[in-house]
This record gives sequence, C-alpha cells and structure tokens, in this order.
Amino acid sequence: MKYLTLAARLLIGSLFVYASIHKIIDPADFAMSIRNYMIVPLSWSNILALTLPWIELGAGGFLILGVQTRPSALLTTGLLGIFLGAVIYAYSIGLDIDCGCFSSAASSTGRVSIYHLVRDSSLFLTSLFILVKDKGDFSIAGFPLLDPLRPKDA
Amino acid sequence: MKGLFSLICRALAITLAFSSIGLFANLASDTPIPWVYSLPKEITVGGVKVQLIDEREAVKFLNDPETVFIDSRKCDDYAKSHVKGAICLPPDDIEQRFPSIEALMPTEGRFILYCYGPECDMAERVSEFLAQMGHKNLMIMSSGFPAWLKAQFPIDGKGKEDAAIEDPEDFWREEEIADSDTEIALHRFCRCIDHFVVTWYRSPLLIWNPLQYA
Repeated sequence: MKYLTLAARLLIGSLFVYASIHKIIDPADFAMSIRNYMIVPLSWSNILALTLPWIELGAGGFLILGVQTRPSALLTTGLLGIFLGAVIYAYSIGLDIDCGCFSSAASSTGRVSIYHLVRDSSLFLTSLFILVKDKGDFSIAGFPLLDPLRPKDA
Repeated sequence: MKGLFSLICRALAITLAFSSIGLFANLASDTPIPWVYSLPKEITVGGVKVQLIDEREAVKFLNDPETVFIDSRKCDDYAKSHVKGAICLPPDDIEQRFPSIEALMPTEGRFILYCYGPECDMAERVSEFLAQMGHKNLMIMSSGFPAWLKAQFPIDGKGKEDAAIEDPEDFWREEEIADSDTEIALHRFCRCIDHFVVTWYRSPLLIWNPLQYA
C-alpha cells in the first residue's frame, strides 16, 4: 500500500508542479486568461494570477517530497473535486467554452469527452486516496528539522 | 474533529505561505505586475491614441449618429449577433471588405471597435488599419462582445441563449435541460464553477488542460 501511495503522490504532485510552471513564469499572461473569462472582477485577476500558481506549486512539491502530505493532498483534492464537478457538468451539457478568437482555438477540440471525465475522475480519486491513506511513508518529513510543523503523533 | 481542524489549518498555512511567496516573487521580478489590475485608459496604435473603454461607456454612444460600432470578430459570429447597428470588419480580410463599407465610415466619425474580449487583439489590429487610413477618433471596447451581451445591452440578431437554438449540440438554453427552478439554479452554479476551474487550470499542454482549448 505504501508504494501505491508513493506513486499517487508523485503523479498528482508532478501534475500540479507541471501545471503551475508556465503560470509562474508569465503571470501577466495567466492574468489575461482570467480576465478573458470574466468570472471574477477584473481587478482581482492579477492577485489571483500571482498567488494561485504558487499554491499549486507548493501543494504539488510537498506531495512529491512528502512534506505536509495530507494538508497538501487536501488542497489538491479540493481543487480536483471542483474541477471534476465542472467536467461532469461540461460533459453533460456539451459545453464549449472556446471563444474562437484565435486560430489555435479553431483547431482545438473544445468539447469535453468521456476521456476527460475518466481521466479527471481518476485524478480526483488518486488525490483522495493520498488524503485518506497516506501514513507519511517515503517522506522527507521523517527528518524533524525539515518539517517542524508535523505533529509528533503522525 | 481536532485532527480535521489541524489538517485544515495546515492547508490554509500552506496556502498563505505560497501566496506570500508569489506576491514577493512578483516584487522581485524584472517585470512586476500590480496586485490590483486596472484597465489602461488608452493605447497608441499606428501613431493614433486609442481610448480603451468598457461596455458601460460604449453604450452611451449607441444612439450617437456620429459613432459607428465596428465588430472585429469573425463574420460568422457577427451574423449570429452583434452590437445594435455595428458593421462587420474582421482583420483577416479587412482590405477586401473595407472598400465596400468605407462609405459608412466618415473620416471625422467616432469608431468603437470590439471583438471577443480582453485577450482578443482583433479590434486592435483593425484600429491600426483604420489609423493608417486616416481615422483619428478610435475607441476599443476592450471587454468585448461577451460583456455587452452579459450587460443585456441592445443587439441585432440573437443573444447567447437564443443563438443556441440553431445548434442542436449547444445546451446553453436552460429551459431545454432543466425541468424546474432548482435545476436551473444548479445549472447556473455549475456554469460558474466550470468557468472558474477552467481558468484556474489553464495549461499550455493539452494533457493537463481540462477542456482542451489552446
């Protein structure tokens, strides 16, 4: 079981780290993306673009290292849970959110398929599995100085 | 219960810590962006200052005979719906279309351009062309047509919900998918969540891109 937990941690952690990198490199571009969807007030877009990718990076990195694993898994599970709900919804109504204003958008598939549903359900369950089953194995947190916040009874 | 509280507190601590890192990293960056975004007031295109306005400012000019709204989106989208009285002038075939609509565009007139939204540069490209053609009084409604629709300002053609009727695969019409007010409310809630998450998880590679848009 502990090897399975380790594999799950590495998978989810890597994906989160990977997803965060380009947003961290170019927060202005990510802020523009946020503004383009007009979900949050325009004035919030920059601060969201500056903070969210770092939270993703932190949660992902901690999962990989095994530092604060369960709180990180709580963050990733929460994010993936919201994401899964959106995909189920998008799939159920055939939502296509492409604005169509760029040539690249025209070549994208746009609509959500059963593939996305299966993939993201798997990711959510994987993250939930970490949250429930992780016992701190293969963790750098085994070194108390590296993880002073870790409860002593964990 | 205590364990759960501790777990949540530690998750919040991670959130706060990494949010702070992000904010400080921005301060240390060569090209920092302001924490609070505010729309720029104008840009210079082709040597002409172009005022950037939002839909609420733009609608004040809707009935002004000196003002022409220019839709820079694709003509297919223009045909579905557009700002009331707007003319279609997409940047990709602007040189072919311009002669046929030039008569509608007096040199001294005010032109308000728009496209799909803040990320779209089509209106800017058209404004550059118009600046080269000698037009000086240019404005860009940078929030784009979606914001105009959202504000329920006057349009020609069909709105988002009505336009969906033409596409049997488009389920934007709430009455088609919901039998009750509760289902409609759920539909709207899910739509908000969907947009939020899609924005959050936008990624350059499709493998991690939830709705596979580029």
